[in-house]
Amino acid sequence: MSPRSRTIFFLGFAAIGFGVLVYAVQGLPQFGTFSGAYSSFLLSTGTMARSIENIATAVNFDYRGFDTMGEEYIFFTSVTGVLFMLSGLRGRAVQHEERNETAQTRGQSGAIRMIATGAAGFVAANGIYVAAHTTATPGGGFQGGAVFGSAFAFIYLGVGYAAFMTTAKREIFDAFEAFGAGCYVLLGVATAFAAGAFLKNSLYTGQSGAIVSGGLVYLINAAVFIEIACGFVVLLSVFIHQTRQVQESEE
Amino acid sequence: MSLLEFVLFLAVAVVGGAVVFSKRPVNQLFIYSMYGGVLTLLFFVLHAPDVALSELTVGTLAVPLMVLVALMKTADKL
Amino acid sequence: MSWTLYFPYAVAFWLFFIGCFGVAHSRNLIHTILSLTVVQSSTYILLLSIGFHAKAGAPIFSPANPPGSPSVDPIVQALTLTDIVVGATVTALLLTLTIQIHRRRGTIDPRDLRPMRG
Repeated sequence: MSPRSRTIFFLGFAAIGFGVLVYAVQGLPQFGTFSGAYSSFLLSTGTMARSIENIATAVNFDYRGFDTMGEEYIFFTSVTGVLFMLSGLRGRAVQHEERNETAQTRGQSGAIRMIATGAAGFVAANGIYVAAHTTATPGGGFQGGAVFGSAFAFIYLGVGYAAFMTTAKREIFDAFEAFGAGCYVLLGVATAFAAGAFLKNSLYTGQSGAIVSGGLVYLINAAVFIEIACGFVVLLSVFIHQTRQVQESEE
Repeated sequence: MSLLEFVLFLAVAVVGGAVVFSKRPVNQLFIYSMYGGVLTLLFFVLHAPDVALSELTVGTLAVPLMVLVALMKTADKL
Repeated sequence: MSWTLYFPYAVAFWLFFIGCFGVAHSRNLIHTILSLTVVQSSTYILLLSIGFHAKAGAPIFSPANPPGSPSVDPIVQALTLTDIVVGATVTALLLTLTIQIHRRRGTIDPRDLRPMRG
């Protein structure tokens, strides 16, 4: 259909949808006046029951831990899909040659390399810090893993392709990602045998405010951090490897 | 609703519109990175620091880098 | 000034429809994917706006902010923060599909990518 008729078609249905949404929003509370029973209950009892001060983390890994397992497996499946599709393209091109690239051939100064390497180390440490302080301050496995994975982008942008490929070896990070994904289920099965229910938080919960607290939440959080961080590194590694294929396989 | 929240909601609406209405994918990429930054500010002002942490690195660095590589692979002329 | 109390929902709906408009009218599959990301972010804004409580703090307690002080809804924050990271990975999957499409068909213009016949 022509663009003109497509626009009119879209606007018609968008108007209907907008009308439905305006009708639905009448039933919502006004902005700033939320009072739900479940959230009030969690806020008042979460810290006492589980020694976790970050209630969003408690909801994620304890009260709704089973849903987080599903989300984690969406992540795992997507990374597997990317690996499956993009690694099939490597068969045609030659292996990337180990050219002895010096800074002069790339036009980069030593200062850029130094700052990029330092920034990468700092961001990686920050990612581990954010993931480790999950129960006491804003943080968690998902956020910390995303920050850690982005640290490797600094190496690629500041130092170069060869350094990035030396640092981010796909096989090692792929193995760790699978390990993290499996640990979540294994922890759940272990607590099922030990305490009677899958993912039941039965470990000693510690003192609220300490770094290691919350019982099983801390272990699950560590497993999620390993999986998300290594998953992001694998994604970046596979995508950046594609940039090298352009010069070699466009024949 | 305070002035800061109102301004940030308005900024998110405007930059979100700019992401969609930009012509070239390379321009859209940088505007999307800025959209990630404004969204992080909005999440922070709405008292959601965990969400802001997630959106900061993902929306500003990880997704634009992958889109850039995809653009490079699918460009007809380099 | 009651319309300002529904303004966040209006922003979320605006982003949703403008993202859908971008998906319907795009000339480039990469533009489609980024418009889809805008649609996803509209849901985050809607969720967080529903759970917001004025004059309340973040759902993180400390000795200076003991449990029992008013705070915003933690459940929608838990939903949103996992969704952002997982949504980025699904975007990566879509980008991989786009690279494959370019490899097989030579173009990423949706108007030229008609279903194959015969």
